[in-house]
Amino acid sequence: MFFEVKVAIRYLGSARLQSGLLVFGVAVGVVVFTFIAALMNGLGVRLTNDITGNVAHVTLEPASRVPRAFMAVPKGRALFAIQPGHDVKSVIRTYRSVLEVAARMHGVRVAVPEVNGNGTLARGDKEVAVAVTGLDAKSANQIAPLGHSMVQGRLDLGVGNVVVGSRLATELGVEVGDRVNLRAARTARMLTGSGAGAAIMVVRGIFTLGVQAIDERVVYIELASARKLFDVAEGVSVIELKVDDVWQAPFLAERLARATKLKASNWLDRNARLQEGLRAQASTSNMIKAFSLLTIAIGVAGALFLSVSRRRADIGILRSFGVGRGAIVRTFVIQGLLIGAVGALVGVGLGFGFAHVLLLASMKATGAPSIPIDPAQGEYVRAIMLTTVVSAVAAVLPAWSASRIDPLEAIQS
Amino acid sequence: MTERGGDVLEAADIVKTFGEGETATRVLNGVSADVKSGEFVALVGPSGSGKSTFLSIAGTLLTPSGGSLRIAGGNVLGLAERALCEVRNRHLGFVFQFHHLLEDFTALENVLMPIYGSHSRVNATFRDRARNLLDQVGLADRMSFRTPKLSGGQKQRVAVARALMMKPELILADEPTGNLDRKSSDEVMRLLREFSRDEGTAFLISTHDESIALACDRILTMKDGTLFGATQA
Repeated sequence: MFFEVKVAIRYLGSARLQSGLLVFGVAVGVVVFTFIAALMNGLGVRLTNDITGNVAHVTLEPASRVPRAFMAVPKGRALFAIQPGHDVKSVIRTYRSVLEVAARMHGVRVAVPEVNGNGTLARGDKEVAVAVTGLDAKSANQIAPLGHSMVQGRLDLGVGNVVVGSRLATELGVEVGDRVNLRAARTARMLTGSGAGAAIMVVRGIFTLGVQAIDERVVYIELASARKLFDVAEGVSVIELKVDDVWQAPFLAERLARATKLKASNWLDRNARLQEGLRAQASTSNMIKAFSLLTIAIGVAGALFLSVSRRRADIGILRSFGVGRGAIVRTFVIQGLLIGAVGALVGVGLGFGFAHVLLLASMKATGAPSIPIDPAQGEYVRAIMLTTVVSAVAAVLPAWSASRIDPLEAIQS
Repeated sequence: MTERGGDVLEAADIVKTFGEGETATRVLNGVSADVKSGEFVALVGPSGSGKSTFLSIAGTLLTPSGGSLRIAGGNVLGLAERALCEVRNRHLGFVFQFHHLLEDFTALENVLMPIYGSHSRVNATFRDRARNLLDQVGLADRMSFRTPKLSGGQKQRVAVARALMMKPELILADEPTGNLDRKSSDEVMRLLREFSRDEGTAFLISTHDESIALACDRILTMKDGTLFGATQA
């Protein structure tokens, strides 16, 4: 192999300009590869973070109950209908033990018990349907980053306080310090049949999470207030969890469902279109990367075919000394491998630099880049390995053609 | 290694036809020749007489259409490509009309090239022999020169040293001085003679040059693909 390496290096070194251009061509292909990887992966991470940062990764709630018919059915089938909205919402009575199970499960970061329900928020004549989330003040920041998202007031979930989304606040025309009337939805009030189900609350904070559905529909109140509002004396409506790896959420949800006998859903179930989008994005990214590798392969193969043509006499004379076909093949494959490896290293350096420059150039005043590129996600090791292998494989055909050269013909020509 | 005086080349009834059917051209018509160890043999004849074709067959670079061929006592017809490479590497050396040196390598590296036909690395012994050969052809001070920096005569002397590197039993030289001036030509022939004498290497030299042919031990004359007996020079 020493001979082949020596000849390969010497051949590449003797045509410095051509070799340099070829290496540069490979490097440009690698820049495209790493740029697309950094951009698409960065976009995927940003989209995922935007979504998973504001919502629970796994939600545990009681399984839906189907009403049973109490009358005896000796013959035939009993016919009955379930009217939506008239069933009594179940609660998780044993939520403390569920929290213990979740705390012990590897991969679960935090579990937050909540009492949720639908209601209306009114100020004056204006009334808006809202989703009420009641949680412990200490846990207020753990599912959605409410504290960092306050645009007015602060995250103060004391008794009698409410925190609302900015779109909802605009719609109602409320500001921090205003009093609002929060009422549980009709069903809940009917069931309580008491003064519970409505409360006068003070707006203590207005947030913008950037998720329209939350900013215009969700209000946060303290857990005890929610218990009173929805008449949930014990237990909780749901337990929301954050996990360490968002892509492990489906597996953790399944395990939690088995362990707790509760209904578990995960953020991916609720964002099927995101999954589709990410898959489509990954496919596009892979296609572009494949094309850049194909371009590299064609470039390397073309250049080596030219090299073989130029070295015909050399190959002929080497073969006349008894240098075998295998050694000739290895000599040219090594050239492809070296071009690929050096080109990949140069390309990775350029690609990393380019991604950083682009990131800095697109930085907005807020400190967030307008282009979602992430230089750390450039798949540099993969780019080096694939480019080197592809270049070596691309060299096989010219190398094989070199090994088939008739030594006599080459010498005589 | 063939014993001194033994046959290093035994060619019998070698026939070579190029093409097939109506376009078939017979270039060699049953050529028989042998060369003994240490012998210095000239192969003469007009252009197109089949000299180069015979040398190519003798060098295992071309397969004959018929006949038998033994090199250093072993039959080489029908051998696989790998085995032919070994025969060329161990028993044969080549000197061509054009030096055919590898331009990207130094004179010393060119002389060492045949080593790689059978060894993966060059050791000190090989390096010493290559230096010694270059010294013998008068190029001790040109060893580290890349070949484009050498004159035509110097290049051909490097090619001679290269042909001798593996201590072959037979060197096939096709018009080795055809591209050189008289002075360089005489110098190269003197070297070939010396190596033949000192190392016991046999030479089969194809030439148009009468003075070169007369300087050989034996002259084989070829005409229209047929060998017309041997003349003692």
